[in-house]
Amino acid sequence: MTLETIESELRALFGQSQQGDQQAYKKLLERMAALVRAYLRRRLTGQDADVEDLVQEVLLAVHTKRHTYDPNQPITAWMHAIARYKLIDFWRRVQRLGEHGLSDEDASALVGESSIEAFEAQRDLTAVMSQLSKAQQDVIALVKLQGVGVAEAAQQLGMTESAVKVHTHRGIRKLASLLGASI
Amino acid sequence: MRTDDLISALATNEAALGPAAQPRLQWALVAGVVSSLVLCALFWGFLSQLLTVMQTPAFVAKIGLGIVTAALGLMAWPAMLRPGQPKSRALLMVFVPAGVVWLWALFGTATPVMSQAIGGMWTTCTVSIAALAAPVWLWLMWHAKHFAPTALRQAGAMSGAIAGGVGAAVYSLYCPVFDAGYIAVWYVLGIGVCIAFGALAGPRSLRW
Repeated sequence: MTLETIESELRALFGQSQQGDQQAYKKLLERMAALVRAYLRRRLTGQDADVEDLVQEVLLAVHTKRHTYDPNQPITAWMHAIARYKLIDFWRRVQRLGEHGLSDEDASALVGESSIEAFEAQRDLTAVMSQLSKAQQDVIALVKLQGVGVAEAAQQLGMTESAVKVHTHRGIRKLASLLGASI
Repeated sequence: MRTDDLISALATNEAALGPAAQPRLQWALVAGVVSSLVLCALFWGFLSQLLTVMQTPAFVAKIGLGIVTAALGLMAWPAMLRPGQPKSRALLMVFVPAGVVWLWALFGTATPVMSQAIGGMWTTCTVSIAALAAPVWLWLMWHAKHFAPTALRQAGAMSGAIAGGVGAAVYSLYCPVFDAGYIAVWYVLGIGVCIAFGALAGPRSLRW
């Protein structure tokens, strides 16, 4: 799914919910939750509880601050800016416990500036992944992207654990050479 | 709470649908200017010959510095409160009026800037401008509460520029000194202090 189709879908759903369509609003929040979850997972690997808390914070912000969306701007940029703000705010809260604060510059370096980048990264990965074998795609999606353990992945895919390891290893090597070639 | 439950709760909330009401910037601005004027009337007063002074170019330049700075800040303010708006160079724009006043002080007058600057109530001018800016700044913070600024330091600096501009304009209704060098140093410093304060306070006071 490209950025353009995400944009037009969200925009249509937002328009319908402004007209009072509850189903459209529910669908909008669900789509946004999935996109924001993916965005946050890439930045908070292994912190699934925090990710889910932040997804809910972003949804609440989208809900209570929906009048700050200007229909002339991309709705994905608006949503992404809220997610980015909540993520930086989360890091600041965590860092306050530590010694050093997080400056705006550090935060930008960690999160990245562009709203497009977040979705582009997903799209690039999808394109490159499609060149792997089916088994390799499955294990990498489970083990490397979703963080599922090897044993559990083996069970879900009906493979032996060693087969999972071999496919992961070969898949990663293939990915590395594909990405290396495209750079 | 599970995310799905949250989504259902938000979607079935009748009040959620349709555009939300938002406080208008005009009202926050009117409230800020009026409170600043009242503060000035109570503790400073106004020039007794204000009506005649108003026609002199020096007075127009002095009040104009504040008004134009505040206006430039106000033009950029709404975009600062919306997530995902492209970054603008608006913060640089608010320094343009100060630059113009400095050109006037440096090249439009015969006496050196510093000798013009010392005199009148130069020890309290900057502090007074900051004090008169305070109510405006508080009203701007109230206004921002209803929105979602994401670059807090920038938005804070911008709120300081608007408040400082209004503070300087209000103070010029009281201030009896009209030297270009005086305005270039103490008025610009007063607005600058407000911008610096806004940038420092922004991340804390604008957080949501």
